[in-house]
Amino acid sequence: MAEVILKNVCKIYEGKNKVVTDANFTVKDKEFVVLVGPSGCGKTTTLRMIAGLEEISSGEIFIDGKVVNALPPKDRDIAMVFQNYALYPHMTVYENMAFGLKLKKVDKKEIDVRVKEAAKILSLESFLDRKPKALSGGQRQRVAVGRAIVRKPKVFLFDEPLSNLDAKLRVQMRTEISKLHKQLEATMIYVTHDQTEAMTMGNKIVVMKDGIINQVDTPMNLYNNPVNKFVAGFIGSPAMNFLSGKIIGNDKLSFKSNGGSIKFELTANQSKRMSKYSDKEIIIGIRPENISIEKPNENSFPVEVNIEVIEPMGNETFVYFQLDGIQFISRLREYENLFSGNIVRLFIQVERVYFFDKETGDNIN
Amino acid sequence: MNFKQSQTAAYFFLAPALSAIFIFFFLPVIAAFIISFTDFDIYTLGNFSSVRFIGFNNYIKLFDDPLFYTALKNTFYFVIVAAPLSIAISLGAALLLNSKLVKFKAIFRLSYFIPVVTTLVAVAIVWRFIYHPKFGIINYLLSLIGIAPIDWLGDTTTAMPAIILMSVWKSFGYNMIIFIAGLQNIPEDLYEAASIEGASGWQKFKSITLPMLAPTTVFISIITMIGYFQFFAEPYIMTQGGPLNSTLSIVQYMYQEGFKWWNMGYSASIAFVFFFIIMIGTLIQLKFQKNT
Amino acid sequence: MKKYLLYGFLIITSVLTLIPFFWMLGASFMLDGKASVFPPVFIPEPFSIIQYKVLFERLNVFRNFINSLVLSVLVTLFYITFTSMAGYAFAKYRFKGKKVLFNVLLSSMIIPSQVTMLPLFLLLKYMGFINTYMAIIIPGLANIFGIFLIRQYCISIPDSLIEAARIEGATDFQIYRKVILPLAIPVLVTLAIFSFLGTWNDFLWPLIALTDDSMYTLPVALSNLMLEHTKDPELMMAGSVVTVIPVIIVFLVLQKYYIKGIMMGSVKE
Repeated sequence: MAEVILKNVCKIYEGKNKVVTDANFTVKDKEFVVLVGPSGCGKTTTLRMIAGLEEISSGEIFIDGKVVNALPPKDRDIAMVFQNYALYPHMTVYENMAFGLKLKKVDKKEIDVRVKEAAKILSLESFLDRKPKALSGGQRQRVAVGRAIVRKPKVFLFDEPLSNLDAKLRVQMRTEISKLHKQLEATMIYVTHDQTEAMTMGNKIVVMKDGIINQVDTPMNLYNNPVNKFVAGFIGSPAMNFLSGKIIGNDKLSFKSNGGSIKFELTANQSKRMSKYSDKEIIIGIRPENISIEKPNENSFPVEVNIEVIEPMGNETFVYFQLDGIQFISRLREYENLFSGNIVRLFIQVERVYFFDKETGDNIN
Repeated sequence: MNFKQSQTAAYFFLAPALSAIFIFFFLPVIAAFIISFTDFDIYTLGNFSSVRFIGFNNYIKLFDDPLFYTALKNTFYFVIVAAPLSIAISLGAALLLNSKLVKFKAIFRLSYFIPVVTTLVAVAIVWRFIYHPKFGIINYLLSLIGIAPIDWLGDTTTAMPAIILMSVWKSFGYNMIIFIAGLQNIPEDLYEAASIEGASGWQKFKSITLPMLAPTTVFISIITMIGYFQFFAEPYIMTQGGPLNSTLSIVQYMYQEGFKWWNMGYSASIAFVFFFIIMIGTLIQLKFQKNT
Repeated sequence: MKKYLLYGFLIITSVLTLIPFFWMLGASFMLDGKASVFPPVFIPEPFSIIQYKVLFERLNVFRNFINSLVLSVLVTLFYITFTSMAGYAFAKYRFKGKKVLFNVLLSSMIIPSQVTMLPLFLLLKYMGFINTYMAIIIPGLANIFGIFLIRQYCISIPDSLIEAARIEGATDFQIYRKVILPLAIPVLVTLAIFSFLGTWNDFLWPLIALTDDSMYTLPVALSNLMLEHTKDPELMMAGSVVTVIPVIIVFLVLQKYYIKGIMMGSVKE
């Protein structure tokens, strides 16, 4: 099994359109790394460069210690699972899985053993004689995974493999792929635009935007310490609330939103780190789950809100309201007997407030 | 994928077809153009070096050649009558077969279509006998309504209409299929909306069907025109261009000059005038399409 | 009421359309002179296959039948191979000059093949191919229409299939052979019918390029026969039946593909 390293990898189309800029990250052996970002962020292009389906404009890609820039896909010892499965419609499930091995002139008996083994892992044994057309979306996806498994590649690449499935199946396949990762102990790189998939599956997540890698980190670190406003807003569901305002005071700093709906004193630690932002415009971020109806601790401040919409989910309740004319959402633990139109007092923990530079969007706390 | 490798593979796949098209299509087109400015004839065939460039002489001669004008006139006559007729009948047949009232569509469609796939030479021979003045089916059918026998292919006034009828019979099924496809592409809800607004059948045809079919019709006009301009086997088999050259077509004239008398320079100039006419005709119809 | 009128009209016109074929078939089984009667008859009385015997035993039409068959099959095989490769390349490869090349081909579709006939004849004569099978096969190797039809079809094949095969180690040719060709079977069948029928039915070029009775294809042989047998409708009808029946059979068996092909060809870019 193998390590994948990207060093200053760039992709430029037609000499000007920069799709990926200076991508740097390492996928360690047996690691499950997820590339995540909104559509058009260059994540798929990055994956395709690793696969060898796209040429690299500059930089280097290493697989297992070797530079593979000039190697065609077939010599990189990788397998890829495509978004639309890319099963050969004219071949049976068995033939689909065996195709690559046949091309490699692997012994027929060996092919049979490997295909049956993969079919067993993916519980596809009873479908081996069927054509892809006769399979459900989830089954097709499993065949696509099976086709990758039989080849025993150094690295597995997944390109949004679950986005064509319905919500329920997606959750199920998510766990199956995670299980598979443990079972095969393989290096896997997985592309998705869905932050939930990224958070639940990856050992490590690479967050991309506009061709630039914003942060490479573990899921919990991304959630707790996002490097900038984009990552903070992208990771977590429902997304973080943002509000513009100003830092005031000299020693003991406090924050006042532009519309005046929010005003609170920073903690001592926060004040220390934020001293150079005194008297400057910044943006604060508050996660919906850090807004509560009971006062969580002494170091929290209240806001009076007029509830616009209530979305009870059963185990939790989403409450929508406006602060400074900006839509806010809070995630309350359970149904709290609230109705739209109610005016309630909610509490926000000061320690859990994020601060971002207004210009760069960097996390400044 | 490596761009250079992919280039090599692409050229490998293109090479056979493109070299065949280049050597046996483009090269001959250019050669024909050159030959049309020479006096290439039967003597040149034996000795290529005797060929001489004679400028526009072939073209000048062509515009003084009464037989060329006859061929041109006949060809236009044929195209101008046969093409609209064929298109109208195709459209009619397509509308009938697209009607919801009709079942067994496949059978009717098949019988209208069969003439399209059959060998032109063979059916031209059959029609030669169908037009037989004494024993032919056409004259028999006409006799039922009291019309005296006509020597269809032997009379200068009826020979061309006879060939036109046969050609329309042979090819309307093709356009019919394209029209059916065009009709099926018209969204059903347009008709439903019109019905709600109280449009009659004829109004719906005029303001929905026809405009929606316009691109199809232009396409059909072009291919029908081009196809009919090239008519050759019909007169060759049925009348040999007669009587008195009344059915001589341009392609037939070109063939005679080139391969019967081996006046290849002259024949090539006919070919280019012929090409030029087809091109003009196509351009006019494309222009027409842009305006609709 | 309207419905019955409609059916009546459809049935009558269908029968009228098919009458030439009924008469052709009937007359071909008649004895000499039996078809030259007024009013015309459709049922042979007595039924005889003498005309076919004359055709095959005395006039040696079997040889022409074989010529037509062999040529149509050979042309079709080459044609399918050449056009599918080129169409695939146009659909799925990036290469220098692709756009220009494509537009040149597209616009030259307007050039009628008759323009090429004289130089083509001279070229093939120079190569020694006139009056051989090669004279028919060579101009039929590929055409622009076929390349476009294949291209259109291949564009609809997802790129990821090709990429998946590439990752699994397939060479460019293996991808063409094992992924593209099997998937393109419908359009290949369509083109094969076009090519087969086109070659079988072609008249002008074989008339020019083949100069011996024994090399003639059926249409040329038939037109030649017509010169001597103007007064023998029964014999000529037998000849027409022999020429027409194979194409009708091919069409009836594969009509789905043929009709689809016409519709595809009429879809503009």
